[in-house]
Amino acid sequence: MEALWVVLPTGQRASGEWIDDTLRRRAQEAGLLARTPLAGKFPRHRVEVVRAADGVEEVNALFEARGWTDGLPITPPTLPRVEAMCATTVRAPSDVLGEVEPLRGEATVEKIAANAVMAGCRPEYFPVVLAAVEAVLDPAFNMRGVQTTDENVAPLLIVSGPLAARLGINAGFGALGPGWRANAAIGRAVRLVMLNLGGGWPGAVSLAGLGQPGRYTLCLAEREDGPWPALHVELGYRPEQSTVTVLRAETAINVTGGLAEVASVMASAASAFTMLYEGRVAVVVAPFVARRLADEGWSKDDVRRSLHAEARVPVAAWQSWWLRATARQWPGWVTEASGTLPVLREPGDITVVVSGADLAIPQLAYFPSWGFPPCRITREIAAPIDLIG
Amino acid sequence: MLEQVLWPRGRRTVTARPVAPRLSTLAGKTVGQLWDDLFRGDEIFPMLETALAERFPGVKFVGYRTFGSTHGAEEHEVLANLPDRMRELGVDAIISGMAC
Amino acid sequence: MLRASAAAEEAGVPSVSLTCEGFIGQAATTATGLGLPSLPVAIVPGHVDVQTVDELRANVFGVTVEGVVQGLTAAPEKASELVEPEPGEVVFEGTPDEINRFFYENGWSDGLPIVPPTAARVEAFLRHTDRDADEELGVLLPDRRSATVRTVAINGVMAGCRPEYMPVLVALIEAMADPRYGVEHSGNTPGAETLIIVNGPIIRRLGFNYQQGALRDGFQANTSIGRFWRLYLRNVAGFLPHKTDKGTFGNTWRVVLAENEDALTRMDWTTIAQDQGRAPGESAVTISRFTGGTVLASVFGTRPEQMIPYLADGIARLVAWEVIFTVGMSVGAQRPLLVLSPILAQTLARAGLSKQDVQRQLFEHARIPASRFERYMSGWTNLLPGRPTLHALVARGRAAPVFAESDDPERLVPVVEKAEDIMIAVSGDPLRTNAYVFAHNGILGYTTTKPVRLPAR
Repeated sequence: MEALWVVLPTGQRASGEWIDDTLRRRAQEAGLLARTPLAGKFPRHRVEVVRAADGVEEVNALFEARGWTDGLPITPPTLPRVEAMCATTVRAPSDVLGEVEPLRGEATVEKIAANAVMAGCRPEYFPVVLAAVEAVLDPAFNMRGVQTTDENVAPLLIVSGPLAARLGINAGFGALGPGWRANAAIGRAVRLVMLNLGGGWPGAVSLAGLGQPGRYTLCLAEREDGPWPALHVELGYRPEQSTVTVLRAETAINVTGGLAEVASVMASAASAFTMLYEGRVAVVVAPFVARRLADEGWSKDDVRRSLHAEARVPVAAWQSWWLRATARQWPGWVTEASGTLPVLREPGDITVVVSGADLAIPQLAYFPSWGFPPCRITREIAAPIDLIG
Repeated sequence: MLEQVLWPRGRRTVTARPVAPRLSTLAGKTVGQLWDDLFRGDEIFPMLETALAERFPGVKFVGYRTFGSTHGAEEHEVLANLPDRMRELGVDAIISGMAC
Repeated sequence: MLRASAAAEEAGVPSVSLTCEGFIGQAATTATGLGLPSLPVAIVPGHVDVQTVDELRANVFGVTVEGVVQGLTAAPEKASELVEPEPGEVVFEGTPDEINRFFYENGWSDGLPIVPPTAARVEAFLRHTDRDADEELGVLLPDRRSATVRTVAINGVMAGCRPEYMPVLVALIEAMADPRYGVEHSGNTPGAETLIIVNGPIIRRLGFNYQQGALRDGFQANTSIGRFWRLYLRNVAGFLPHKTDKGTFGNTWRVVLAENEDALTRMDWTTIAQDQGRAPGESAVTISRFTGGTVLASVFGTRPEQMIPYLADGIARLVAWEVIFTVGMSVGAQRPLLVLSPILAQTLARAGLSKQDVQRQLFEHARIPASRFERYMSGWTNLLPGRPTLHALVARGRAAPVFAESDDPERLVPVVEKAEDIMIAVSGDPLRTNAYVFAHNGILGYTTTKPVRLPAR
C-alpha cells in the first residue's frame, strides 16, 4: 500500500469557491458527466492523501474521472515534486499571477506548479511555464474567448534565446513534435492550467467543435544559428535574454516550397479568421530556406513584406466565404473593396522564426490566427534558480 | 496506529447575496464618497472627481466628510446612518476607499 | 473600506471599492465574508504609501478611474455557493505523523505538532462545559465562520490544552466574537498580538503560572491556551499568512498572563477583571491586542515619587504612534498595560496608594510635548491625513480638551485620555523589581472581558 500526498491542481477563486462545482453543473447540462463522473468529488483541501496499491494508477484514475486531465496519463503532483518545481523560481508559492477565465480560478505559483508536474515538466522548465502563463493571462490573449469559442484555437509558444538550448527545448528535428520532453511538457502545462484553473472543459465550457492536436501541446524554440536576428532580439530584448512569445494559433499548415507557396496558403479560407479580426500570424521557416533567402539578400522584414504583398484574396473569393456572409464588413484595413484584399493589415503582423531540422528540403509552416484583439505577447523567462551560477 | 481526525474549521455562514444593480452611466448621477481616513484618499478622491467629471457630463459628488469616517470609533454609527444619508442626499453610487 | 461598500450595496446603492494592488486577494476574501463575493473593486496599482504625487496621479488616472467606471456600471458575475467539509466531519485517517503533516499542509496548523483532534479527545473537552456542542458563540470575521463550542474543543485539543481548560476556551471565543473587540482587525498591517489576562479562582484551579516567568512558556495552562487563541484565529476567524493576514512582521501567540491575586488581595488592590466590571471572586478572561512591549528593568526606589517617573516614561515611550487611538481615529480607546511585579506594587501600596492612585500619578507623569504627539500621529506617519493639530482635533470633538490647554507646542500632553485608561496588572517574580509595558492597538483589538463559567457539578 502506498500513500501519495498530492497537491490538488484545480481552480479555486479568490472568494474560496471551487470552479469544479460550476463545471459539474455545466457538464451535466451538456450531457457529458459520463466523461467526468467524479466531477466536483474531491476533498476541498490543498493536499489529498491517495492510498492505493499502485498510487500512480489510482491518482490517474481519480484525476481523469474528476476532469483534471487532457485524456493522457499525468504525473501525480506529489508534494516533493511540486516543491521542487516551486524551488526554481524566486516567486512565492502563494503568489497569484492572475485569474484564469472564464471560471476565474486563481493562478497561484503552486497550482501552476502542480499542473506543470502533471504535464511532465522537469523543475527547470518551470520558469518557462510561468512566463507563458503570464503571457496568456495578459488581457490581449483574450483567455475567455479562447476558452469558450467554438473555434479550434490553441496558444502557440515560441521560445527564443539561450535558455532554449540549455533547457533542451527543441528547435531541430521535429520541433513541432514529437520527441523532446521540454516542448511537449511546457506546452501541455499551459493547456492544463487553462483546463484546471480556467475551467476550459471540452464540451462543457470549451465549445471548440473539432479541436486540434495543438490543444494538447504546442511549443517550439527558434534556432540560435539562423541567418537572421532572433525573435527576442527583433522584439527589443538583449541577445543574452530569453523569452517566450505567445500567439493564438489555428492548426499549422505544412508548406513545402517557398514564399510563394506560403503566400498562396495564406491567401485562402484558412486565413478567414485572421482577416476578420486583424490577426497576427506565424510563419516557421526551416534553416535551409532561411539560408537561401538570406544569401539572396532577404531579411526577416523582406520576408514579411513579400508575404504581406503576395497574400491577397480576390474580392469575389472573400465574398463567397461562409465567414464573409456572417460578418457584415470588410476587414478593418480595407478602404476599397476591389481586386484583391491583403490578408493582413501590415507586414508586422507576421512573426517569422527559423526552426526545424537542417535538411535540404524547403519546409515552412503557416499558423493562421483566431480572435480579438491582435495578439503577440512576449514575456522574459527568468533563469531557473539552480541554473544560475 | 491510525486515528480519525475532525475538521477544525467553522461553517461559513454566508449565503452570497447579489450586489445592488449597476448604473447604465454616471452622467447626471450623484456619486458619494466614503473614506476611512487612510492611505491618501484625500488625494485620490479629487483626482477621481476630475477624471469622472471630464468623462460624464453632469456627474455630481458628495464628499467623504459629509458621511464621516468609515474606520475608527464611529464606524458603526456612520454605517448605520448610511442608508438614510444616501437617500437624503440623492446618492446614486458610492466610491469607497481605501482598502490597502 | 469594504464594510462600508457592503453597507451601500445592502441599501441598494451600487459601490466600487478603491483597493491597493497588494490587497486584492484579501479584499476578495473579506468581501465573501461580508456576504458579497461579487463586490466590485477598482485597483490602485502598487501601494500608495511609497508613491510620489506624480506616480499616484498617473496610476489613478491610468488605471483606477476605469476600474471605478466598470465597478459602477458593469454587472458583476453572480456568485455561486462555497462547498467545504462539514464542521466536525472526519477529514482524515492516518498515523499521528501523517495527521500532523496533513494539518500543516492544509493550513490548519501553526507549524508545531498538534494533538490529533479525534472524536474521543473532543468529547473529553465537551464534558467540561454545560453548553451544547453546536451552540454558536458568534460568527467571526473575516471568513464569517460559525464559532461553535465544538470547534472550540477541536482547536483546544490541537493546541495541547487539557479538557478542564474548556470553560476558559469558551469564554475566550465569546470575547473574540464580541464586536467591541474587533477581531476583524487581527490581520492588520501593524500585526499586533492579543494578550489574554486571566483572573479569579480558575488561576489556581487550572495551575496557571503567575510568578517568575509569568510571560514565558513552560506551564501548560498559560502556554497551550495562548496557542489555542492563534489556532482559532487561523481556523475559524480565517486569518492566514499571505492571504487575509497582512501583518508586516506579526508576533506569535503570547502565553496567558495570570495575575498574582494573593498579592493583590494583601494590598487591597483591584484585579484587571474587577477594573473591567466583574465581581470579586469571579473568574474571567480579558483580551486586549498589543503591538509589543518592553521590560522596565531595575525600577529603583523606596517611594512612589522615585518610581513613578520611570514607569510613566515607559508608558509614554511605548504609546508612540498609537496615540491615534487616544485622539483622532478614536477618542479615549488607548489602554496601555503596565505589569508590575508584586514587590513594586507592594512598595507603592505601602506608601498608601491604591491602584487608582497609581493610575492618576502615572497619568500626570506619562506626558510628552504636544509637538512630538503631533509628529507621531501625522508628521512622521500619515495616520491622520491632513496633519491636524491637537487644537483642531479638540475643536472637532476628536480629542479631549486636555490636549489643547494652551498654544505652546512644547506643552506636555498625556498619551491616554484619562487615568483609568492606564491598565495595571500585578504578576511576575514577586521579588524582582521589573515592570513591563505593553503598547495597545486601540479599537483594533479593544480590551474585552468575559466571565468564565464552569459546568454545574
